[in-house]
Amino acid sequence: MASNNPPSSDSSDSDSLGSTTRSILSLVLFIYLFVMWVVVSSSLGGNHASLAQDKLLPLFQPLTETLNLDVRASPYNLYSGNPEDYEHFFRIELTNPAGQVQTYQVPGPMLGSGLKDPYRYERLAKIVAMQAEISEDRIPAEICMGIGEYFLRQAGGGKVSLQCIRRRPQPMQLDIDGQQYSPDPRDASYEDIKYRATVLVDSEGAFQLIKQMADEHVAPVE
Amino acid sequence: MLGAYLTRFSDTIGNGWNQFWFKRESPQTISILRIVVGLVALIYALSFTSELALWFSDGGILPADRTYRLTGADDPTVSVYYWSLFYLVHTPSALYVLHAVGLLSILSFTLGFQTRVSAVIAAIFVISYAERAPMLAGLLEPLLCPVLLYMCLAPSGAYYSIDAWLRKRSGNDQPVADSYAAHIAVRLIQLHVVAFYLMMGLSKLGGISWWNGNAMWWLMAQPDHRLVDLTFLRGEKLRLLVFAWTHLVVLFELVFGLLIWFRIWRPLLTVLAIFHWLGLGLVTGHWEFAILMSGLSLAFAPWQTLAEPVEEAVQQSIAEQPLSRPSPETAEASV
Repeated sequence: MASNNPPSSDSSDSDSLGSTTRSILSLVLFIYLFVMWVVVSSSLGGNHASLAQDKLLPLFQPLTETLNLDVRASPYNLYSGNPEDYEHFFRIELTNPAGQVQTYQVPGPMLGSGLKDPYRYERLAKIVAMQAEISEDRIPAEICMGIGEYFLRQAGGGKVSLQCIRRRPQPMQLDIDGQQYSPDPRDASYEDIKYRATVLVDSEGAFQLIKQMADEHVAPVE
Repeated sequence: MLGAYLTRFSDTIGNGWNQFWFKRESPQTISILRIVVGLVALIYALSFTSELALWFSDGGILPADRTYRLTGADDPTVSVYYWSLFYLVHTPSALYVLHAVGLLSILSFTLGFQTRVSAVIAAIFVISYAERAPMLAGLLEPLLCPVLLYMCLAPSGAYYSIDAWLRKRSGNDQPVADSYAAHIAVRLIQLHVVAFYLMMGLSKLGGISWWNGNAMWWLMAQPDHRLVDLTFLRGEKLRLLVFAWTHLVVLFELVFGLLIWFRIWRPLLTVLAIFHWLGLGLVTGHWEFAILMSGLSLAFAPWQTLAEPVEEAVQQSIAEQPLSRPSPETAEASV
């Protein structure tokens, strides 16, 4: 894209850079901007990139992943109306070795109270819920195991029951066609349990996760 | 005729491209951006402090082997290019030592001390935080990382920095030379910011809640995300504000991406960006991303546009003074 033509009055400065240098820089910039354009535009339709983008993105992956340029995993539209935009969290029931039961929420004071930690635990809860919905067990199990292990170590054993909960946002009007909605946005009526598992220490001292329930797709009732 | 058109076309595009990218520019703008980006990077890195070991040490929530399994890096058939210095250490003490080095490098970059070196180290650390557990990343990381990389290209410590103070103290009062690298870095930041604005605006157009005006309500109705409770806006007389706000968010993001290239709009859009991101930051909880987006508006140097009419007015008033006689230098310059 670099021009070798007689300079206009404004381009005398750019000409002092040298034609070869400008050409090399232009090529690098052009390729980089093309990569960025493909990456950024592929995020516009949520997870629905075109076939051309799907072919190109793996080619650019060594650059975009290495330099953390990929934008597709982040919700830049802020709200799309899909359940993945709702709040997600874990509810933990810890049964300590003495048999006492305590309930915690993650993120919460016990885990996830740092500056941006609530957001990070919420991301994990969101991944668990989304993966459970497509009947993918491995990733929810890995994440719940990590959280369960933490609570078991704190309690010195026992058993942890985890629930991954999605909270639907409260509608603007609390009375829609005769249906009443709770004025408390954290009311249990807004909650859906998407995944449930128990983490415990087996007789050999190893941590075990037992899945109890995962939300699954249900065919619409006609 | 076609050949003449193609020649003229390639000349025009080529000259435009050269004028856009290849100019010398004072490193003042990139130095101001260094402070903004450095502060946000510092906040970002500090946000890992309280639970760093809980997250990443062996026995934590996401030790390295679990992260590998979650990203697919444990599968030899899957290509995964995530890397992080924090994959190399596994104990709480080692993690915190590395974290301290990361914080110091980012602080050094923000203050402009040994900026050429500290910029590179700070970028390596910020990417390391972001890529240690990529599934935790939010809105901030994909913008902060490339902007920091652009900073590495330019003399971002030339002004408003400890380096500048040390230079002055050693008796070097010469202004810093204009730089091609500073100009290219600022241009890359401008393009990246505009791409983000347009991406955010266009992606909203794909969601019905941004068309029917409800999207801002759904954001402010999420009790754990929001920093302030604005749900009183559901009132009969106030809800119009929610709908109007939703439409203004989309409009502003699209308008910013287009009109910021016109110098006369820059001061106004920069001020509006502060209000735009303040509102979104408070409602969504993405306040550090909001700070970065507001701050990066400065890449368009809105103060230069504000200064232009004043300079012109001063020159005009000098020209209109009947008794003023231009000095020989001024007369020569005006010619």
